[in-house]
Amino acid sequence: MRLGDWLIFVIYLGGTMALGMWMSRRGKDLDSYYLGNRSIPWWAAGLSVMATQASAITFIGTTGQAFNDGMRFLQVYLPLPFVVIILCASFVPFFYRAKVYTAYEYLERRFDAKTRALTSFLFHCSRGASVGIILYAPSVVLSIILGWSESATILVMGITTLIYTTKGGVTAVVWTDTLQMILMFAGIFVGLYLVIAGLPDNVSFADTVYLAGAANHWNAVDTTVNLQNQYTLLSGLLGGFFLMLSYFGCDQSQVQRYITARSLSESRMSLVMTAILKVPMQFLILATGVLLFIFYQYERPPVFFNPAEVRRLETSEAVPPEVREQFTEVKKAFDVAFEQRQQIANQLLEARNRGDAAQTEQLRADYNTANQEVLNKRQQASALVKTVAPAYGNDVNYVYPSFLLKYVPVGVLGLMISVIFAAAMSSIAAEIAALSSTSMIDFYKRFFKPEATDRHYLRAGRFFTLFWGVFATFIATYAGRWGTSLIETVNKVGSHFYGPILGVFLLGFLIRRANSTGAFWGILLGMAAVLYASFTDIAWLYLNVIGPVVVVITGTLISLLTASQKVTSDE
Amino acid sequence: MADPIANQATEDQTAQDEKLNFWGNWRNLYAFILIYGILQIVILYWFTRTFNQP
Repeated sequence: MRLGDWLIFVIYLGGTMALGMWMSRRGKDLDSYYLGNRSIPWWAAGLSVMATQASAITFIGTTGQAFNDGMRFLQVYLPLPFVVIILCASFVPFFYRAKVYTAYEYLERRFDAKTRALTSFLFHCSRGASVGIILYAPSVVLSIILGWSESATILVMGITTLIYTTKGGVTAVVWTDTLQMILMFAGIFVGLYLVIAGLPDNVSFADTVYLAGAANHWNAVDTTVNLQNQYTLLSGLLGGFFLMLSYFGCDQSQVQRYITARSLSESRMSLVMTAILKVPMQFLILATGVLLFIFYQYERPPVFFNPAEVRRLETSEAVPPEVREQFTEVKKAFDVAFEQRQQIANQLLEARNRGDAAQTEQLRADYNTANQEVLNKRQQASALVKTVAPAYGNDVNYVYPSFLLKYVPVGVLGLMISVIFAAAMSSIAAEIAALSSTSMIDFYKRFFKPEATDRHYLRAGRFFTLFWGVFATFIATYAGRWGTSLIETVNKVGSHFYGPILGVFLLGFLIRRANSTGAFWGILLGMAAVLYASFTDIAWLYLNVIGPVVVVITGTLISLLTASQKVTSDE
Repeated sequence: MADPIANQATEDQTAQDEKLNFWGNWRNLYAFILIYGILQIVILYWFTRTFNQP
């Protein structure tokens, strides 16, 4: 980073902290700390909803994923408008009018304390794991851009976020989220422009779009029916539907956002904003990754995008000489494959532009073969990296940061780093605030200290915020070992919990005769079913369907059974 | 909804919550969002068929 970049980055960091601390002056009681005094305008709550969901993983992992295999991930978000209708008509009015601090307080009113505690505990498990991942993701960026260790970047990010979140609670979080989301929108357009501007002058945008399509990267909708295929229209509409319903309807990190709004109408409008903007926003981010794929057909990329691992393979004495030699050979073969693919791509464009259909057809097949050859070399490099560093064999999260580091002008790099930081900090702050509220309200206040002053609870709330921030930092230091696309990891981990949590809410809303015994055992059986299914070949998105279905069915049956047993024993 | 916990709102409050200045009421806005969601899928399907030709 150059001086201009540092300046912009420091201005961003300072500005965010200043805004957060200024908003913290309103955090005087529990209502302001956890509910923002229900005074947040709908557009700020809406931007906060979006910022909470769009973490640094959205920018880093999604672009990398699109670079590798196109737009398929978009399908996960397609059900969102339908989900928002259901939420606005049902979940939101319930939570808003019940004047709860947490989504799980509803479950005690409907069922009993143990069902509430179990569901809240599951939330703690899923969020506790994912908050560390979303704190780790930007450290990937900084570690290659700044040359800092990942630990140092985790600490910088964690501490700055924790300061204003601990001090100001939800009010500080929502308003900093608003600023950060505006910055993220700017970053999406700037990033897209940078990639397009980087394409060679002799390759038009139409040619770029054509090449990406020839390489099967504009695969936004896949209508095949295959339960093992992760991203299809079916898995998106079915699995994505339940995932979104659970995430936006039952996850405290989102519920906490929209119950801060000034009225029920504004609470609903904050979700409507997400319904309208999320898919277009995600489309643009994925398109950036696809265009980056074409960009790197004219600019030679590294065979493996993680420079630290490439350096290790090439220079470390701990690496066996034969592995180093193999890597050198793979690099040479990759360069040859790259040149060949570029040649074929140019020939393909020429044939197409002069209208030679037969030649175009042949060259398109050759182009696909050439792409596969380049991919093979990258996979070979990845396999070699895994022999010396098994946890770092996937470079998907380094693709976009690598581009930013090398090809972006001074000042703009600082802006883009700020965008990635903004994405991370907004999500981290929201997750920590949500974990704090559920720990405080669902466990501490409910079971340990039910009769204390507001001042005591406010201090305890700040303590829990601090605790979860430190916990997230601890998890983040180990997240890198998991070595897969982080956005997939976050959603895979979440899919084990989202389904059963959604199931118990559906049981409460839809099944009048559901009782606390049915709810409690239904959740446990739902968790068991999801765990079993996760060991099969079924795509992870479908876990979000299995969970609620099993919970609702078993919960209903157990409720009917225990109700009839109770009637019998009463007789 | 079958939830036995009664909705806390009064009738007046519910009527107030259903009003929307631009859309008239929430049902109109839900209809718009539903059409928007379907159109999104249709447009993306057309986009894939048009531009994705491996």
